[in-house]
Amino acid sequence: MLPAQKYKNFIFAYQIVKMDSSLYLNALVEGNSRIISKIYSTNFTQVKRFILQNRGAVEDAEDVFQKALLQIAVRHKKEGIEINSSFDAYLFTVCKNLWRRELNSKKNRVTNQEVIELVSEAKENASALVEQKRHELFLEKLNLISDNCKKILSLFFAKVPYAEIVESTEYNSETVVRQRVFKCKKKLTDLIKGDKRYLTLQEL
Amino acid sequence: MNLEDDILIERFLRNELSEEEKLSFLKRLEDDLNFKEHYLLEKQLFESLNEESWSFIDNVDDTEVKQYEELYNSAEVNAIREAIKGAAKTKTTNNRSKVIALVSGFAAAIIFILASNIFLKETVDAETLYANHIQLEKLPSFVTRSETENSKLIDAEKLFKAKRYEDALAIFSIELEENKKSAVFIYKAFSEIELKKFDEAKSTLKTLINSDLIDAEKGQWYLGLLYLKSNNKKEAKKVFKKIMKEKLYKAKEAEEILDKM
Repeated sequence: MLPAQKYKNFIFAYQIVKMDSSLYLNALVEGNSRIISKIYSTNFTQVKRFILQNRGAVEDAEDVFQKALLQIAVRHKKEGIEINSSFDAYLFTVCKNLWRRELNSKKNRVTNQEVIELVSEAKENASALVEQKRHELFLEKLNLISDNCKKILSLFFAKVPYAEIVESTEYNSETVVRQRVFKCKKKLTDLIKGDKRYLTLQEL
Repeated sequence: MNLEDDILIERFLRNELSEEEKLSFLKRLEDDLNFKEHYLLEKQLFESLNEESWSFIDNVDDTEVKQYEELYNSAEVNAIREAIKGAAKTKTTNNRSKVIALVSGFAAAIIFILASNIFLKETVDAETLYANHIQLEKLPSFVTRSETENSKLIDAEKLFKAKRYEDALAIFSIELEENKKSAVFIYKAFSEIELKKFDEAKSTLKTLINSDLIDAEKGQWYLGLLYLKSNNKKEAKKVFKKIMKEKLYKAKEAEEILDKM
């Protein structure tokens, strides 16, 4: 296939994905039950499988799925989000992150039993939404640095020991890897701090 | 920020500092704002970009959270919430309608019997039953207060919990040659199950069941779960019936599973 034709096909496919995403986003904001049911039938099984495989039950999957749809609707209503991947992939990521949040908040509840306070559901949902935004900002900036830096930082943040990072990269010592991590992290944090969205998301 | 401070922050986040170093680190956080700012961003990145954790917002400017909170409480968003709940209910109803349509060709009496089974008794698929009963995080730990604890097994347990099943399996397999403990059998079997090596897992559990170890009978329970995971309902039922009849480990749970199958 000629490069020009390939490019046209890519643009066409990309436009279809975009069209689908905006169709679903608008349907959510409008509360269009027919399209929301379609979203359910296409995506719920995959989310349920993920949650069952990660220490959850069917009721958890239902709760997370509904919260994720509402989170996307609220964000689209307030700021008009654009999804660059498919709607289905984005929805799955939001569900996955909400479940990560739930599992980690359970952990915190166990270790900090004395500081349990009742937080309204709306506040909890709003906090989860802002955390998702910060997570997306970090990922967006991670995607702007070089592939080499991205790879080394992904391993670093996954807490892979330095010795193993040396094995899976072209660097020949832990000292060199440490220096590389330091430089890559500097690039990433400069990009994050330079974005005005981070001003409202940084801790004081 | 220099490399030395960067390593210090990393060691704190990985919980590698001594008590004394920790105290001095916390003191510096109070006194040095620039250091604190670096630490907080690094902490957020660590938690956000690691699949096992999540970065919660603490002490951020709460204007944005409050705006979203108001929106979540608004009538418009409540209407969206209701529409989403409604769609969830429709999905369940539609699934039931499909079941009814499937059986509609049979005689009325058979429909009645089938409908009784479908609506009066909740049936659950094997994978869901497995997921509801398997509690990998509750498997016994090799970490003890004893000085003779086996560091290889502790490493293997950590690998297992990090879902690095291939690596965990390699250690458990070697350990089993000399260290025939029930827990090692169970961890090995679950590493194999997670890697979908069902035949190997079956063989591991059968060795445990046929051993003279105190916990040998636990192998039956895990064997039942293995059959659920591999969608072999017939064998799963046989095992759970045996557990119930002989009042073995988890007899009550086995009864519950049989009831749902």
